[in-house]
Amino acid sequence: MHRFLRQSFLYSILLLSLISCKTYQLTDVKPAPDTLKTAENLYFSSGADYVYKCQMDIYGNPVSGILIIKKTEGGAHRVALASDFGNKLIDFTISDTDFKVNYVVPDLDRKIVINFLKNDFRRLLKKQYPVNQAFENPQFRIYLSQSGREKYYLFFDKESEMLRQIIYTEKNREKIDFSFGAKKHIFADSIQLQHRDYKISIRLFQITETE
Amino acid sequence: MIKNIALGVLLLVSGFAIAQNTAMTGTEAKAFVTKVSAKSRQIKTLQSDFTQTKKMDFLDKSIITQGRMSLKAPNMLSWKYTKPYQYAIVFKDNKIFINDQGKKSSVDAKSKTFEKINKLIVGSSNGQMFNDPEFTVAYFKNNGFNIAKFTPKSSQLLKYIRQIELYFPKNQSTVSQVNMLEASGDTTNIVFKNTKINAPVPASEFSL
Repeated sequence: MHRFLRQSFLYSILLLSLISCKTYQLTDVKPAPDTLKTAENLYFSSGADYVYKCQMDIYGNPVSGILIIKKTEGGAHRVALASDFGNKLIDFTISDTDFKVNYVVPDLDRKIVINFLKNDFRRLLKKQYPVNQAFENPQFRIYLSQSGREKYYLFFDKESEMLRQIIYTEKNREKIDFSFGAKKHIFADSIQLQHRDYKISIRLFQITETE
Repeated sequence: MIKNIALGVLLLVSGFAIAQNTAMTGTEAKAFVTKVSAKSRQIKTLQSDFTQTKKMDFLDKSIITQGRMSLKAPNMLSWKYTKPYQYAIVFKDNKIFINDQGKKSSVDAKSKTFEKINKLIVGSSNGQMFNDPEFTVAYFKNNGFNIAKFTPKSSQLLKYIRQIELYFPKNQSTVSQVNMLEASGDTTNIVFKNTKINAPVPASEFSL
């Protein structure tokens, strides 16, 4: 009986993970001449203050606030989230290799929350992607950057040459979808981060009203 | 020698800072609290425009948001940001209603943080706040203002906020400025303008 239960449990987990995370494949694209060695996400490359209104949805729970991203002198980024009332909820410094929490409000001081933010923002702020393959369709030039089981597909608009989307996959399963709306290479007006395996999304809208 | 000069300068500077705001005497503080509490008990409604300025040490610029607040005794509060984005939060019937750029949601007001925000704002307008057991209050004055400085007593609350200063213009019993010093060292400052007392508030202010 126990064995049966365990087996059916394992099967349902397996089934669930297969359903919840579908295999990602580029469709209707053709290989493009691989001219770029490195594709870049320049949306957080300037030293200016990046200030966004932030709407998060975590399993149906809305979290609203103001998100600030600032490049530090060492090339890392300082990221802070404050509530709409202004009080800071979390503040951390992050780079490809390092991560340090400068402040976190007691309610958010959970390992799972901090790890999510760490992983999501490390990917969002990652600047350089070594290119393994290039593809194209009528609208986009698409660069594939692979490191072990992890793949990043970067979609650049052919006309504006702007980065519009990054799809992050693990073992070929789509994990996170980053979309960018921008008029300038170094500044995205709107950003959407959508997890494909968890019901978590983050939407950012640029706020210009600063002193 | 340099150390001594530095110490002297520091003392001088801090001396100036103290000279600006002098502590009220016990009698003055008592008179101030009695006056504000008595006047604010007559407040049935309160409406005001506000400008919120958030400063963080690593930012070049402050973040400024603006909006309008409305309060109706005993416990309806609306806090609406209109610039640079639309975000409204209404406390009503022990519930919290939120309209985040068109996205509406509501929660029970049992959240500790929301409860404290509500208590803080409502309390500061009706004078109840001076009796809040969670804070110790110190009273100061300068040429233009009477100032009440609230420091949390519990280490739990100190993890969120280090100090709240309420500025009451002399001859006015409502707050014109709130300065918050957070546990992280950041500051948020809210300045109220065009304050109207006991003017009718349209019901629409409290519906989202």
